[in-house]
Amino acid sequence: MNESEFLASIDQHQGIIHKICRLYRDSKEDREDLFQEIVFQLWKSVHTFRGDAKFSSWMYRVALSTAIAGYRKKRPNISYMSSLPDEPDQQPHGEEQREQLFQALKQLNDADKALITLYLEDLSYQEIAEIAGISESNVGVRLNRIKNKIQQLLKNL
Amino acid sequence: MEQDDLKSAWQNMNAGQKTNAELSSMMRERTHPVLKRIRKQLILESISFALFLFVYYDFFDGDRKPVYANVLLVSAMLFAIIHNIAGYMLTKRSVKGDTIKQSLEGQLLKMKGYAMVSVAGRVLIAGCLLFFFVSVITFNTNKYWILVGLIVVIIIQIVLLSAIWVKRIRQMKTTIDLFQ
Repeated sequence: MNESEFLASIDQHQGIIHKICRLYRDSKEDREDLFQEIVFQLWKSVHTFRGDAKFSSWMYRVALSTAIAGYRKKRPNISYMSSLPDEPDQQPHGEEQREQLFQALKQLNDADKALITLYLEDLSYQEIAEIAGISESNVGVRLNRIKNKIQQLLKNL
Repeated sequence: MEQDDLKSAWQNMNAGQKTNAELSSMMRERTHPVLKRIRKQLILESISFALFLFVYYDFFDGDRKPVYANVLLVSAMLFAIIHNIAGYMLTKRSVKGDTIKQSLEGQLLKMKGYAMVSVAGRVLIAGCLLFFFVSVITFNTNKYWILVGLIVVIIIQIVLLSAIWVKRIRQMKTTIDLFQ
Protein backbone atom coordinates (compact mmCIF):
# COMPACT_ATOMS: atom_id res chain seq x y z
CA MET A 1 0.00 0.00 0.00
CA ASN A 2 1.53 3.34 -0.98
CA GLU A 3 1.29 6.62 0.96
CA SER A 4 -1.66 8.09 -0.91
CA GLU A 5 -3.68 4.84 -0.68
CA PHE A 6 -2.88 4.69 3.04
CA LEU A 7 -3.98 8.31 3.56
CA ALA A 8 -7.23 7.72 1.68
CA SER A 9 -7.99 4.64 3.85
CA ILE A 10 -7.19 6.50 7.08
CA ASP A 11 -9.30 9.45 5.98
CA GLN A 12 -12.21 7.10 5.31
CA HIS A 13 -11.91 5.45 8.75
CA GLN A 14 -10.70 8.37 10.88
CA GLY A 15 -14.00 8.57 12.76
CA ILE A 16 -13.22 5.36 14.62
CA ILE A 17 -9.75 6.64 15.58
CA HIS A 18 -11.36 9.76 17.07
CA LYS A 19 -13.81 7.60 19.05
CA ILE A 20 -11.02 5.33 20.35
CA CYS A 21 -9.02 8.39 21.45
CA ARG A 22 -12.03 9.82 23.24
CA LEU A 23 -12.72 6.49 24.93
CA TYR A 24 -9.18 5.84 26.16
CA ARG A 25 -7.92 9.33 27.00
CA ASP A 26 -9.44 12.04 29.18
CA SER A 27 -7.78 15.32 28.25
CA LYS A 28 -7.85 16.98 24.83
CA GLU A 29 -4.04 17.07 24.73
CA ASP A 30 -3.76 13.33 25.48
CA ARG A 31 -6.38 12.55 22.82
CA GLU A 32 -4.45 14.55 20.21
CA ASP A 33 -1.22 12.76 21.15
CA LEU A 34 -2.91 9.37 20.95
CA PHE A 35 -4.47 10.19 17.57
CA GLN A 36 -1.05 11.01 16.17
CA GLU A 37 0.51 7.94 17.80
CA ILE A 38 -2.15 5.71 16.21
CA VAL A 39 -1.63 7.20 12.73
CA PHE A 40 2.16 6.88 13.16
CA GLN A 41 1.87 3.24 14.31
CA LEU A 42 -0.54 2.39 11.48
CA TRP A 43 1.89 3.80 8.91
CA LYS A 44 4.87 2.02 10.52
CA SER A 45 2.93 -1.28 10.55
CA VAL A 46 1.36 -0.90 7.11
CA HIS A 47 3.61 -3.67 5.74
CA THR A 48 1.81 -6.12 8.09
CA PHE A 49 -1.53 -5.37 6.41
CA ARG A 50 -2.44 -8.29 4.20
CA GLY A 51 -4.73 -7.38 1.35
CA ASP A 52 -6.91 -10.46 1.96
CA ALA A 53 -8.18 -8.99 5.26
CA LYS A 54 -10.34 -5.87 5.63
CA PHE A 55 -8.37 -2.65 6.15
CA SER A 56 -10.73 -1.69 8.98
CA SER A 57 -10.10 -4.98 10.88
CA TRP A 58 -6.34 -4.46 10.70
CA MET A 59 -6.78 -0.83 11.72
CA TYR A 60 -8.93 -1.72 14.77
CA ARG A 61 -6.21 -4.10 16.00
CA VAL A 62 -3.35 -1.61 15.68
CA ALA A 63 -5.38 1.36 16.98
CA LEU A 64 -6.79 -0.45 20.01
CA SER A 65 -3.40 -2.04 20.89
CA THR A 66 -1.77 1.40 20.69
CA ALA A 67 -4.47 2.98 22.85
CA ILE A 68 -4.27 0.26 25.53
CA ALA A 69 -0.47 -0.05 25.61
CA GLY A 70 0.26 3.69 25.61
CA TYR A 71 1.25 5.29 28.86
CA ARG A 72 -1.35 7.64 30.33
CA LYS A 73 0.41 10.49 32.04
CA LYS A 74 -2.55 12.36 33.48
CA ARG A 75 -5.49 11.58 35.67
CA PRO A 76 -8.89 12.87 34.55
CA ASN A 77 -9.86 16.38 35.52
CA ILE A 78 -12.80 16.11 37.87
CA SER A 79 -14.88 19.21 38.42
CA TYR A 80 -17.61 19.55 41.02
CA MET A 81 -20.78 21.54 40.41
CA SER A 82 -22.16 23.81 43.10
CA SER A 83 -25.63 22.29 42.83
CA LEU A 84 -27.15 19.01 41.80
CA PRO A 85 -28.62 18.85 38.29
CA ASP A 86 -32.39 18.67 37.95
CA GLU A 87 -33.97 15.26 37.49
CA PRO A 88 -34.66 14.55 33.82
CA ASP A 89 -38.39 14.50 33.13
CA GLN A 90 -38.07 12.49 29.94
CA GLN A 91 -35.79 9.97 28.19
CA PRO A 92 -32.56 11.50 26.89
CA HIS A 93 -32.37 12.08 23.16
CA GLY A 94 -29.76 12.66 20.52
CA GLU A 95 -26.56 14.24 21.72
CA GLU A 96 -27.44 13.77 25.39
CA GLN A 97 -28.02 10.06 24.86
CA ARG A 98 -24.69 9.71 23.03
CA GLU A 99 -22.87 11.59 25.78
CA GLN A 100 -24.40 9.30 28.42
CA LEU A 101 -23.32 6.25 26.45
CA PHE A 102 -19.77 7.59 26.25
CA GLN A 103 -19.66 8.30 29.98
CA ALA A 104 -20.79 4.71 30.65
CA LEU A 105 -18.24 3.24 28.19
CA LYS A 106 -15.41 5.22 29.79
CA GLN A 107 -16.05 3.43 33.08
CA LEU A 108 -15.27 -0.01 31.59
CA ASN A 109 -11.83 -1.61 31.83
CA ASP A 110 -9.46 -1.40 28.82
CA ALA A 111 -10.25 -4.88 27.49
CA ASP A 112 -14.03 -4.43 27.76
CA LYS A 113 -13.73 -1.04 26.02
CA ALA A 114 -11.99 -2.76 23.10
CA LEU A 115 -14.58 -5.55 22.83
CA ILE A 116 -17.59 -3.22 23.01
CA THR A 117 -16.00 -0.84 20.48
CA LEU A 118 -15.71 -3.68 17.99
CA TYR A 119 -19.29 -4.77 18.74
CA LEU A 120 -20.65 -1.23 18.32
CA GLU A 121 -18.78 -0.97 15.03
CA ASP A 122 -21.03 -3.84 13.90
CA LEU A 123 -18.36 -6.54 13.67
CA SER A 124 -19.42 -10.18 13.96
CA TYR A 125 -18.40 -12.28 16.98
CA GLN A 126 -15.97 -14.16 14.72
CA GLU A 127 -14.30 -10.92 13.58
CA ILE A 128 -14.12 -9.63 17.17
CA ALA A 129 -12.56 -12.93 18.29
CA GLU A 130 -9.94 -12.75 15.52
CA ILE A 131 -8.99 -9.14 16.32
CA ALA A 132 -8.94 -9.52 20.12
CA GLY A 133 -7.29 -12.95 20.22
CA ILE A 134 -9.96 -14.70 22.31
CA SER A 135 -12.43 -17.47 21.43
CA GLU A 136 -15.74 -16.71 19.73
CA SER A 137 -17.74 -18.22 22.62
CA ASN A 138 -15.79 -16.06 25.07
CA VAL A 139 -16.68 -12.99 22.99
CA GLY A 140 -20.37 -13.83 23.35
CA VAL A 141 -20.15 -14.32 27.11
CA ARG A 142 -18.06 -11.22 27.63
CA LEU A 143 -20.26 -9.00 25.46
CA ASN A 144 -23.40 -10.07 27.32
CA ARG A 145 -21.75 -9.11 30.61
CA ILE A 146 -20.50 -5.80 29.20
CA LYS A 147 -23.93 -4.90 27.77
CA ASN A 148 -25.57 -5.63 31.15
CA LYS A 149 -22.96 -3.51 32.85
CA ILE A 150 -23.56 -0.63 30.45
CA GLN A 151 -27.31 -0.79 31.10
CA GLN A 152 -26.61 -0.62 34.83
CA LEU A 153 -24.21 2.28 34.39
CA LEU A 154 -26.72 4.14 32.21
CA LYS A 155 -29.40 3.73 34.86
CA ASN A 156 -27.08 5.23 37.45
CA LEU A 157 -26.04 8.21 35.34
CA MET B 1 -31.11 2.01 26.03
CA GLU B 2 -31.72 -1.01 23.77
CA GLN B 3 -28.90 -2.71 21.85
CA ASP B 4 -29.85 -1.09 18.57
CA ASP B 5 -29.98 2.29 20.32
CA LEU B 6 -26.47 1.67 21.67
CA LYS B 7 -25.15 0.95 18.19
CA SER B 8 -26.95 3.87 16.63
CA ALA B 9 -25.80 6.25 19.40
CA TRP B 10 -22.21 5.06 18.86
CA GLN B 11 -22.33 5.28 15.10
CA ASN B 12 -23.94 8.74 15.13
CA MET B 13 -21.39 10.18 17.54
CA ASN B 14 -19.68 13.32 16.37
CA ALA B 15 -16.09 12.52 15.49
CA GLY B 16 -13.50 15.11 14.60
CA GLN B 17 -12.19 15.54 11.09
CA LYS B 18 -8.51 15.87 10.23
CA THR B 19 -7.40 17.12 6.85
CA ASN B 20 -5.19 15.04 4.57
CA ALA B 21 -2.29 17.42 5.25
CA GLU B 22 -2.67 16.91 9.02
CA LEU B 23 -2.87 13.13 8.62
CA SER B 24 0.18 13.14 6.36
CA SER B 25 2.18 15.13 8.90
CA MET B 26 1.25 12.63 11.63
CA MET B 27 2.95 9.83 9.73
CA ARG B 28 6.35 11.51 10.11
CA GLU B 29 8.77 10.70 12.90
CA ARG B 30 9.83 14.32 13.32
CA THR B 31 6.31 15.49 14.20
CA HIS B 32 5.52 12.60 16.59
CA PRO B 33 4.67 14.33 19.93
CA VAL B 34 6.34 11.82 22.28
CA LEU B 35 9.37 11.25 20.03
CA LYS B 36 9.76 15.02 19.70
CA ARG B 37 9.87 15.39 23.50
CA ILE B 38 12.41 12.54 23.86
CA ARG B 39 14.54 14.02 21.05
CA LYS B 40 14.58 17.42 22.75
CA GLN B 41 15.57 15.79 26.05
CA LEU B 42 18.22 13.70 24.29
CA ILE B 43 19.77 16.77 22.62
CA LEU B 44 19.68 18.85 25.82
CA GLU B 45 21.19 16.08 27.93
CA SER B 46 23.83 15.23 25.35
CA ILE B 47 24.91 18.91 25.19
CA SER B 48 24.97 19.09 29.01
CA PHE B 49 27.05 15.89 29.27
CA ALA B 50 29.45 17.09 26.57
CA LEU B 51 29.88 20.41 28.39
CA PHE B 52 30.36 18.58 31.68
CA LEU B 53 32.99 16.26 30.19
CA PHE B 54 34.69 19.32 28.70
CA VAL B 55 35.06 21.09 32.04
CA TYR B 56 35.13 18.31 34.65
CA TYR B 57 38.88 17.74 34.32
CA ASP B 58 39.49 21.26 35.68
CA PHE B 59 36.43 21.78 37.87
CA PHE B 60 36.48 18.39 39.60
CA ASP B 61 40.23 17.81 39.49
CA GLY B 62 40.03 14.96 37.00
CA ASP B 63 43.81 15.12 36.58
CA ARG B 64 44.33 14.27 40.27
CA LYS B 65 42.00 11.29 40.19
CA PRO B 66 42.96 7.75 39.13
CA VAL B 67 42.34 6.75 35.51
CA TYR B 68 39.63 4.23 36.53
CA ALA B 69 37.65 7.05 38.21
CA ASN B 70 37.79 9.16 35.02
CA VAL B 71 36.75 6.17 32.93
CA LEU B 72 33.83 5.49 35.29
CA LEU B 73 32.65 9.11 35.06
CA VAL B 74 32.70 9.08 31.27
CA SER B 75 30.90 5.70 31.37
CA ALA B 76 28.16 7.19 33.58
CA MET B 77 27.51 9.91 31.00
CA LEU B 78 27.47 7.34 28.20
CA PHE B 79 25.00 5.12 30.13
CA ALA B 80 22.67 8.10 30.47
CA ILE B 81 22.79 8.79 26.72
CA ILE B 82 22.32 5.06 25.89
CA HIS B 83 19.31 4.98 28.23
CA ASN B 84 17.69 7.90 26.39
CA ILE B 85 18.39 6.33 22.99
CA ALA B 86 16.86 3.03 24.20
CA GLY B 87 13.71 4.94 25.25
CA TYR B 88 13.53 6.62 21.85
CA MET B 89 13.91 3.32 19.97
CA LEU B 90 11.28 1.65 22.17
CA THR B 91 8.72 4.38 21.48
CA LYS B 92 9.50 4.31 17.76
CA ARG B 93 9.03 0.57 17.33
CA SER B 94 5.88 -0.53 15.59
CA VAL B 95 3.05 -2.56 17.12
CA LYS B 96 3.48 -6.24 16.25
CA GLY B 97 1.16 -9.24 16.59
CA ASP B 98 -1.85 -10.69 14.78
CA THR B 99 -4.28 -9.93 17.63
CA ILE B 100 -4.64 -7.25 20.32
CA LYS B 101 -3.61 -9.84 22.92
CA GLN B 102 -0.41 -10.71 21.03
CA SER B 103 0.40 -7.01 20.50
CA LEU B 104 0.02 -6.34 24.23
CA GLU B 105 2.18 -9.36 25.09
CA GLY B 106 4.87 -7.98 22.78
CA GLN B 107 4.52 -4.57 24.41
CA LEU B 108 4.88 -6.17 27.84
CA LEU B 109 8.18 -7.78 26.80
CA LYS B 110 9.48 -4.44 25.48
CA MET B 111 8.38 -2.75 28.69
CA LYS B 112 10.19 -5.32 30.84
CA GLY B 113 13.38 -4.91 28.77
CA TYR B 114 13.28 -1.12 29.05
CA ALA B 115 12.51 -1.30 32.79
CA MET B 116 15.68 -3.38 33.26
CA VAL B 117 17.75 -0.93 31.17
CA SER B 118 16.27 1.97 33.13
CA VAL B 119 16.92 0.55 36.62
CA ALA B 120 20.33 -0.93 35.73
CA GLY B 121 21.29 2.39 34.08
CA ARG B 122 20.35 4.34 37.22
CA VAL B 123 22.44 1.97 39.38
CA LEU B 124 25.45 2.20 37.05
CA ILE B 125 25.27 6.00 36.70
CA ALA B 126 24.96 6.54 40.46
CA GLY B 127 27.73 3.99 41.17
CA CYS B 128 30.13 5.51 38.62
CA LEU B 129 29.55 9.10 39.89
CA LEU B 130 30.01 7.98 43.48
CA PHE B 131 33.27 6.18 42.66
CA PHE B 132 34.57 9.24 40.81
CA PHE B 133 33.92 11.69 43.64
CA VAL B 134 35.16 9.45 46.49
CA SER B 135 38.19 8.04 44.65
CA VAL B 136 40.74 10.43 46.26
CA ILE B 137 38.94 11.23 49.52
CA THR B 138 40.66 10.31 52.75
CA PHE B 139 37.82 9.04 54.89
CA ASN B 140 37.13 9.83 58.53
CA THR B 141 34.03 8.91 60.56
CA ASN B 142 32.02 11.99 59.46
CA LYS B 143 32.81 11.45 55.79
CA TYR B 144 31.83 7.80 56.10
CA TRP B 145 28.44 8.86 57.48
CA ILE B 146 27.95 11.31 54.60
CA LEU B 147 28.81 8.50 52.17
CA VAL B 148 26.31 6.17 53.90
CA GLY B 149 23.67 8.93 53.64
CA LEU B 150 24.34 9.36 49.92
CA ILE B 151 24.13 5.61 49.33
CA VAL B 152 20.81 5.46 51.22
CA VAL B 153 19.40 8.31 49.05
CA ILE B 154 20.51 6.50 45.88
CA ILE B 155 18.99 3.21 47.08
CA ILE B 156 15.67 4.95 47.87
CA GLN B 157 15.63 6.50 44.37
CA ILE B 158 16.29 3.12 42.76
CA VAL B 159 13.61 1.41 44.87
CA LEU B 160 11.09 4.11 43.88
CA LEU B 161 12.01 3.81 40.20
CA SER B 162 11.68 0.01 40.39
CA ALA B 163 8.28 0.36 42.09
CA ILE B 164 7.03 2.61 39.27
CA TRP B 165 8.07 0.03 36.66
CA VAL B 166 6.63 -2.88 38.66
CA LYS B 167 3.30 -1.01 38.84
CA ARG B 168 3.26 -0.33 35.08
CA ILE B 169 4.18 -3.95 34.26
CA ARG B 170 1.54 -5.27 36.65
CA GLN B 171 -1.12 -3.03 35.06
CA MET B 172 -0.22 -4.34 31.61
CA LYS B 173 -0.32 -7.96 32.83
CA THR B 174 -3.77 -7.35 34.35
CA THR B 175 -5.04 -5.97 31.03
CA ILE B 176 -3.60 -8.95 29.11
CA ASP B 177 -5.26 -11.33 31.59
CA LEU B 178 -8.59 -9.67 30.76
CA PHE B 179 -8.14 -10.94 27.19
CA GLN B 180 -7.96 -14.60 28.36
